[in-house]
Amino acid sequence: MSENHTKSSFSLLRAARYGLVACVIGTLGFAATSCKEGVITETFDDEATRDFSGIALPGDPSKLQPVELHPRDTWGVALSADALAYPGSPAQEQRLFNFEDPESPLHFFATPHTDEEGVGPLFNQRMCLGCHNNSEENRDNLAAGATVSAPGKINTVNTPVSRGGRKGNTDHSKITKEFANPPTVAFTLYGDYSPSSGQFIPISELGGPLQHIQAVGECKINDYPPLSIDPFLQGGIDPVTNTSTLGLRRAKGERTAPPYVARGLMEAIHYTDLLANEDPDDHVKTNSTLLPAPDPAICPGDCISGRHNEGRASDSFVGGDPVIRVGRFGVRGTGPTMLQFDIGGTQGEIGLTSPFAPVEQPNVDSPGLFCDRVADPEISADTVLHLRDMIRNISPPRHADAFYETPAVSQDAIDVQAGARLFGVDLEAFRSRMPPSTTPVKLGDPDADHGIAADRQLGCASCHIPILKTGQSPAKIGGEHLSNRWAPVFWDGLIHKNPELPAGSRPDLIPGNLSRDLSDYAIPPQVTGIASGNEFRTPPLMGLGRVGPPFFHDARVYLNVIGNGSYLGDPPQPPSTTVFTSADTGANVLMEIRSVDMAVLAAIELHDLPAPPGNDYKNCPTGRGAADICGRASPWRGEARNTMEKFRALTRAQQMQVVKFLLSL
Amino acid sequence: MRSHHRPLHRRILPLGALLLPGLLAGARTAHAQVPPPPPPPEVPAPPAGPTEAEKQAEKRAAEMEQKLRVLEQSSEEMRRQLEVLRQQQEAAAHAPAPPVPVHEHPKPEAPSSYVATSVLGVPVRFTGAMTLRYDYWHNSDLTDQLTKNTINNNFLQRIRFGIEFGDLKTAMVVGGVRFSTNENPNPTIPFVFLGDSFRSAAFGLDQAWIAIRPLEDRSRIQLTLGRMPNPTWRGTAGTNRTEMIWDDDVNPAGLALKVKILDIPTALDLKLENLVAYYQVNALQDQRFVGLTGTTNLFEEQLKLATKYATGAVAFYDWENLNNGLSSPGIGVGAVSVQTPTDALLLRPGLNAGNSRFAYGPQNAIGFAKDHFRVLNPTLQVHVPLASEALGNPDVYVTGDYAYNFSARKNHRGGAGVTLGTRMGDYEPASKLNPLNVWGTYRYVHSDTTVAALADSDLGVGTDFHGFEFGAAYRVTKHLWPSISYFDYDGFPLMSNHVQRLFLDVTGEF
Repeated sequence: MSENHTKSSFSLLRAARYGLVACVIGTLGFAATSCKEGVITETFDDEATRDFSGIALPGDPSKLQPVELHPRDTWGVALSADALAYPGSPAQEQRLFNFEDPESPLHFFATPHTDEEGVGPLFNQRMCLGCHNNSEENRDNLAAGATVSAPGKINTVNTPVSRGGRKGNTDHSKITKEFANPPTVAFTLYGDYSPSSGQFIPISELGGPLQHIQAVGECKINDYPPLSIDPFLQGGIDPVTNTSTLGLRRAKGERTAPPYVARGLMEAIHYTDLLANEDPDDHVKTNSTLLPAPDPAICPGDCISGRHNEGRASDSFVGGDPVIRVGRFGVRGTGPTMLQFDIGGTQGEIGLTSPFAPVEQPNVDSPGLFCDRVADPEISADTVLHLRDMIRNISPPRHADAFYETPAVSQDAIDVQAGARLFGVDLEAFRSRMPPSTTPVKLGDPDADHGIAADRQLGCASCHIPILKTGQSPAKIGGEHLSNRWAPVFWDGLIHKNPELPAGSRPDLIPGNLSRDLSDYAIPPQVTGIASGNEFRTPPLMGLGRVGPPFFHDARVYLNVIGNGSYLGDPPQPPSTTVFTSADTGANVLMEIRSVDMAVLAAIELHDLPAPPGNDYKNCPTGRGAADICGRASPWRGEARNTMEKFRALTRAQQMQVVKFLLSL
Repeated sequence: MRSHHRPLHRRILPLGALLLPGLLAGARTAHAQVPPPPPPPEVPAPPAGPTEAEKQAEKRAAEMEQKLRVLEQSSEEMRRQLEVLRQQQEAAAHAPAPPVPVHEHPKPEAPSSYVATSVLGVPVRFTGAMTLRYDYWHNSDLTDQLTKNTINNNFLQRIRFGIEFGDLKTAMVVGGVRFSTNENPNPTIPFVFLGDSFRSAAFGLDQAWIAIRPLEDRSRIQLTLGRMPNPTWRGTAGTNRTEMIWDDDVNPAGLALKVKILDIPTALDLKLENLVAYYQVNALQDQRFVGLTGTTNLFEEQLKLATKYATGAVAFYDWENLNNGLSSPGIGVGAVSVQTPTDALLLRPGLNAGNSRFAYGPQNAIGFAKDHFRVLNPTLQVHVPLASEALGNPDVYVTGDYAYNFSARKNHRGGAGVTLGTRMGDYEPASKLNPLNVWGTYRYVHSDTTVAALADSDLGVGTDFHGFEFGAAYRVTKHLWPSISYFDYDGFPLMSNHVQRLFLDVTGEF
């Protein structure tokens, strides 16, 4: 008993002694380290370094240097680092593009996924590359006789720098599970829109807002719902107001994947450099020697306004930044992060859930059917993040040699450089900020730093700003290629008002099978931000001469000389057609698009509603009021109205110089 | 720590010996068990026939006899009570030291003493335990929930208070109730955060059960009813129980029948026991337009063979109606349901996660792939006693646990774990240590090995993980024991979430 007592007392004393020391240390430790966190008013500065925020920090102007442009001949020609990565990228970046490695993001991107991996229950594509398929469509068209002028050289292998293809217009009534949508890989957004309030109802009860045209197992696809079953459109559409009794009308729009060119550079531009180009009330008057000048009664400035869009990544994925930020990605520039588009693609288009989007898409047409038999989440967070890392590190191509030929001697160089000037590019300033130059001319001059000429001529460069400087990239991999660079983006990250046809108008009165209405009121808030249905973000033009057609957010300007892509039983698809205007070929001449050059020309032509009859506004019918889609002051024309007046005042040869310049990008 | 006082009955008996002769003085007759009275004093011979004095004496004698009978009865009652006390104290002195629980609340064992009786005269024992825990919990935070990757970096507390009724050694019917903090919404987590401006902590009824033992050997057959301490054998040696299937804090509710089939002390203390249990896990009233309803049941069968050095058991669990609560409403033309989709009850937020989650259209409510799990779960424990008085004759043990779900998909159906530990030290004078337990556990558990909601809330927090745990617990006194545990695993989802967790516990038991 006494021994035991001694031992217990000893243990107790020892424990008490250690306990006392531990208590003192612990108390001091906790008092010092764990008592206080956070700040009263969050400034989000710290969040800028958060990986999922993907926010660029301000750059260091003293470190600005040219971007490492990828050799043009090998850019985008294969699924490999040699064709896609920045030149001289280290092994860590190269591994992202190792298609042979099943764990690589490029392998994930370009390999069809199976039901067993979790595709579906509804989906649009089995792999990312399924939406980036225009290169092989162009290959087939070029083989069948479609042409492209030098310096254009179109890629013929589908890679992440390919974009969504199209061979004809979509007829939603002919989409089937068996044959999907043969003319295009574009996907469709739909819902009900209230013109008076701006509200958009995604009608998820009917499978909206994203249509899925393929399904696994016995599941049914998501048919585009007819108006007759829409609970918000009961009673039909009033022919005068074009709305239902609830004030709603059906809105529908298609979207296609963009080519993933230099997204890391676009991401690395500090948001203040985007906001610096805003002109929401069109106060800025730029200088142009081309006529006609903007009508001050219509445009206070140069008609080009532009404003930023904004969004909150947390609306799009679990873990997204809950802060409203200046957006830049997506057709309306709503998305502040690249990551949300990776997640949108993997979950929304392929049906692969991840920790960022752990729930499948609505599947309303298959009640009681258990189609997707793979547990959620189906892919890991790392898979999605690595995908972003890869896309971030895809390089832009070097511009065609004709662009750099000094002095311009060859006809190609003469045309390209003339086109560049018409576009509004300051050639000298631009070239001096591209490799191998290391001495930017007129450094510090805002226009020169943007590569914009003092005489903007057509003024294309007002929106398609040739150069934006990047700040500090948020990239953990490859950030050194992206930070503090003169990025030749031809992009401003802002949204602009597009030409539009009013509801109830007769689009069929405009000749051609290309819709000239560039509005789209399928506007789910998380992908629309503060944009209106007729506002779209300027697309970057990097690599245009290598990526090729189709053009626009829904790939409406397509090249199809083969006639393939028809619905079952339909005749061959016709080429796309629209009306063109130039000073020497006449106004609104209907032409087929049978070459890459014509596709580019059509893309320019679509920047506004067609020219007035005879390219003279005096010929427009009068008394149309708000329904006027012809007059110079028509409210339905877009911000490019004056630019397009200038463009239509050029000869076709001059117009084609602009086309050739674009093909040199 | 030992008591220095003599046992109670030894203190009371001498007192009785002092008092009784005085009480018995003057009695004329002797009782066989009463010391003989002193001889009467010499008196002159009485005259013939009863005199008045003689009558008075007889009367006094009769009165004394009456008093003596009363005293005898009192004495008998006192002796009986003293004997009960003596037996109880001896039982307490010879009872083995209670095991040092680490994650487990003390089970209702045979009480060593009863401090009260109920109105029906049933002995009652109170138990109480309080654990203060510092919990540091770091994870990958895969979707960056703005947490700086830390889930917990705080003090937590678990408080429990229990009452047990009936003598566990002898009574045919025993029972118990226990109250615990938390366990709501997660039945595996009884801890609550300290703080909340010192508001009181909410308590819930943790256990409420009765056990019926109809045979004279009370351990032979036992039918337990109610919300009960988990009767499943999950290991005996050491302080750890395998928690791959059952978290220690889960108290299933239903009926459990345990039968000891064989008990052969001479054959390495061989025992063969069988447990059959039915538990009602969830119950939803049958109603239309709310999805799957009814009762989620668990049927359990476990056969255990125990010997002196090794114990093995094979359990079979049949979970039925796992998708209870799953509702994915459809909307047809002209008929719009206002019902919101709901996940299966056992997959809803708040519970441990890890089971495969399947989207049920049209609105993609989350459910199990199959409505049942059928799990085979063999468990084996081997322990080897080592002779070292200085270390308290330590016991080294290894526990292996394996589970296979016949209802799950390939590559998602199995799980295994192994624990290696030692129990050393005791309160004997020769031992230089008080009881000390040290253990390490490794588990690899696929997503559908078992129902994650009720599995270990510390290592893996459910299923779909692989990783290890190390821990140690030391009894400073019988009532005070600190412990430390460290966990490191890759967990749900897709075993891609790296978690590191540290517990520093101090527990007081009463």
